Amino acid sequence: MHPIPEPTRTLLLNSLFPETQRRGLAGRSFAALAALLGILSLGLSAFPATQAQAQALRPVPPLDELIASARATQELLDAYRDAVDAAHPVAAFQLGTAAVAAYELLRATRAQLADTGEVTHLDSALYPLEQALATWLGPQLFRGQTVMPGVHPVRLGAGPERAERLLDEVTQVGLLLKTSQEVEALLPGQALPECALLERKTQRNAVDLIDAWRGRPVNFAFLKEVLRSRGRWATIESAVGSRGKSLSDIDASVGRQALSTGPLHDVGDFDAERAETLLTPLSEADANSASDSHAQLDDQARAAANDVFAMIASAEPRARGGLIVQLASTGRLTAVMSEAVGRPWSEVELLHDSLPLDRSARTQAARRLLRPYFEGKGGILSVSRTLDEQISRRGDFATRWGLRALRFVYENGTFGFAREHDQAWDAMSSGYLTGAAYDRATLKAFGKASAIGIVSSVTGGAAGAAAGGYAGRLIGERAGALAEGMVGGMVSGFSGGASADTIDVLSGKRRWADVLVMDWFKAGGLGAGVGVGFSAAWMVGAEAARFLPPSLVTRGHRLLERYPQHSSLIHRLRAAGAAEGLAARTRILAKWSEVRRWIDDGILPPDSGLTLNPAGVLDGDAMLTLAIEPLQPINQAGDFAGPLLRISGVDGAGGKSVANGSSAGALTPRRFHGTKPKYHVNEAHVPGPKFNPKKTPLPPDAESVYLNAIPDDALNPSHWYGVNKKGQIYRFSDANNGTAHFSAIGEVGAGIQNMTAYAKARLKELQR
Amino acid sequence: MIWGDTKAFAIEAHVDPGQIYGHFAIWVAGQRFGDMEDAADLASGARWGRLFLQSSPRRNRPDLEARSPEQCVRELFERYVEFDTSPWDRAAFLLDGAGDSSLRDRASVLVFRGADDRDRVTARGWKSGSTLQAVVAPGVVDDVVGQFCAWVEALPRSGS
Repeated sequence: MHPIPEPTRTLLLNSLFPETQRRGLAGRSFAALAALLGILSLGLSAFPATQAQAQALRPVPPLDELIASARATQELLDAYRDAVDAAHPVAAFQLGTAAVAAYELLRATRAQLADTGEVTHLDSALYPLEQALATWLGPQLFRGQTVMPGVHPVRLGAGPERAERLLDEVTQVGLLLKTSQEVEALLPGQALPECALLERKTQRNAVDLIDAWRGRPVNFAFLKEVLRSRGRWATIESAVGSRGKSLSDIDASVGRQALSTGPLHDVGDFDAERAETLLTPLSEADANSASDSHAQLDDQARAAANDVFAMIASAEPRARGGLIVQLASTGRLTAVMSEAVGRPWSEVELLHDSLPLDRSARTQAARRLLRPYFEGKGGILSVSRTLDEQISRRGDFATRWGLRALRFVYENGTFGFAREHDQAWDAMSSGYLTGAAYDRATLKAFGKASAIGIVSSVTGGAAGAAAGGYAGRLIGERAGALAEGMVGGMVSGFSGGASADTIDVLSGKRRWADVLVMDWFKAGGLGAGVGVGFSAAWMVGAEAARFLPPSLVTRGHRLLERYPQHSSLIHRLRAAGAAEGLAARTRILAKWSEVRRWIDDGILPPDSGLTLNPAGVLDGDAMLTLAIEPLQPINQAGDFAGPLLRISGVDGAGGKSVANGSSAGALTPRRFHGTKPKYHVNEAHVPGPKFNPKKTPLPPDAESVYLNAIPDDALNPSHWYGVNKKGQIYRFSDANNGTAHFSAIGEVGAGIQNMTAYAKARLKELQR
Repeated sequence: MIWGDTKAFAIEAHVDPGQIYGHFAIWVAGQRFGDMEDAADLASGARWGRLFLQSSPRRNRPDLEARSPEQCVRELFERYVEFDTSPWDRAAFLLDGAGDSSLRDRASVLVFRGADDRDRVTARGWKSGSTLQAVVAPGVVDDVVGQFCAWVEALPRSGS
């Protein structure tokens, strides 16, 4: 193992992973690998099933419906832009995510139509939509104007990376708007005179919040425009941040970086001027000479090299190539990468491997420039790199493609978690990543995967495109904030569980390996059964719904608007609708006082088959478990005509209605007011010549038990139930001729399979 | 005696000479549901069959078309057993009553009509837990049930 100088290690870790407390690796690697393999196997087994389920539940709709869906997605995009222009981060994030989800659904359907003539017609609607998404989802525009010269639509590519790039843009815009809100909260609304009164510390904090976005020029420019529109930029333009630079200086520096690496690439902490100041040009000959004589350059040069290396590592992979070329063009690359400055070859190799697999001139040149610093050395390989090595070494075509397919499934089956994890695994196995840092890396990957999952849940995994991994650096660092702040109120089969899981993991309540990924897949599959066509507008929350055109506003949104005080109840109904489709019920555990408030406010009808608390014995704190359901599909566009919801029953046996001890009379089912059939003896139950051994013998007390038997339905009973002195339940079946006969005892023979919840609730009363 | 197509939907019934009861089964998607060895009160079954036919106009549930057979069973049957205490319109959707004790506690047969007027016949075996669904041409289910009822009603009532 190549020795790694501690300063280098610390700098690298600090740059990649903020928390770097060194811990022993004993036992950790095996446990982590086992957990990963568990996730992988679950992912592999669940993914095809989820696809099949999604396809089974979602037949290809008619072409005109697909075209309409594309139009609806365009409307979602318009709503998104309205939310962005209004600087509303939550609404923007939710609407943007919904637009990407809707687009992915259309892409998945297009794949199903691939061999038909209809695909051309669909493409005529899909391609303009794709262009619109590439243009309008990102921070390139604000209020219809480009935020800086030279910006262009996001390049989506042709593969599964499309969705992740779009989501990356949505996420960054959401977080930028959130930053804008934070800056606004620090600064007064007006004016330079007041600026003078601002405390220096407040100014510095505000500048630091903005400075954090300098890595990607277009982000910085977008934030600048938003703050300008809110009257805040001018207030602190001359203020100085923690790095000792004024906001106007930072702005100018960002502009220069944009000219060098482009406005859309995120260079992270890289500061070209600082790098140039820190490093002294070093030729390869000088470096070789220093290595041959085992001389090391001075500490200052090594520290500078480490500093600049950390800056490069903080840049997104797509930008790193440009930075490496930039350093080489000023003769400073060797001063960072050479062993003469203490750089381990394995770090350079890792940097090389992190460059994207594209054919851009910058990336290709960067690869060529880095290779001399590590070629010919070995290391321990992760699953991904082992597969990559095998792919490159195997000569036969079939094996190579088989390995590629395996690599694809490995990535996609884990929502991109594998790729993120493997980078950390490689670093750890090379000996310069601590256990804590490894945990941190896998956690970040986990957070990113959860964002992917939100979209994948809507597409039911059928699209597959969202599963290619997620490159956004910010979403990983702020996954907790996203899950709590931006996803809140959204509905999807995935988001409820996954976001909660993510929060749990981020807050340290659970480890990532403990979370049941299988449940996520299942939830995602169920989400596909929502049956609301291809408009994904249903998944956004109330704040985002305000930006939707009326044609996309669902009943759930209207309920939220009408009864904001009961959002908790409504969110649960929406989530149940997403999981099971249509007007799915949900079980609610609530205090009687709360249920009373629902009724008083009109969201629940006063009588929906149950007479609540007829004896008036419940106090306000008594807990009830109710099954509540919307009377019309809650996640479909439209409004409620007539009653909104109903209480369709009590949970389980109908008796678990009260938890605080005073159960009598909590919930009383409506009474049957018809005629009770006459008792009749069915001779097939009577031992004798007509007895059928398949039948339960008639007990001697059947007639007396029937006297107090209760019906199994309030309107149309088919059976009657009574209880004998031993507590056994007898069933009596209506013969549809005005008579009823004994037909079963509770647990005898086949048992009773059709005893209604109504009968159970009535029997409970009887037994009291 | 079998009415209908056993590969989609059919009713099978016969009576033993000298017995007051008969034997009954329903075929759904090629599988037989019901215990032919048990004695079923066919007259009671036919009376349920008539109720079922009278309730035909209420059998339209196009909203269930996109649901899985299991979800249909949940919506039309299990919910009323598990938690829903509101009135259950059994006569419109359940054929269980036509089979009397042959089907009771062993299987459940549910029918609903889609937007295309075709009936979806869903059968759930309680012991096996298996659920099958057949899509049947418009009117066929009612025809088969009607033929069964007419046959039972024409039987000599000497045994009773």
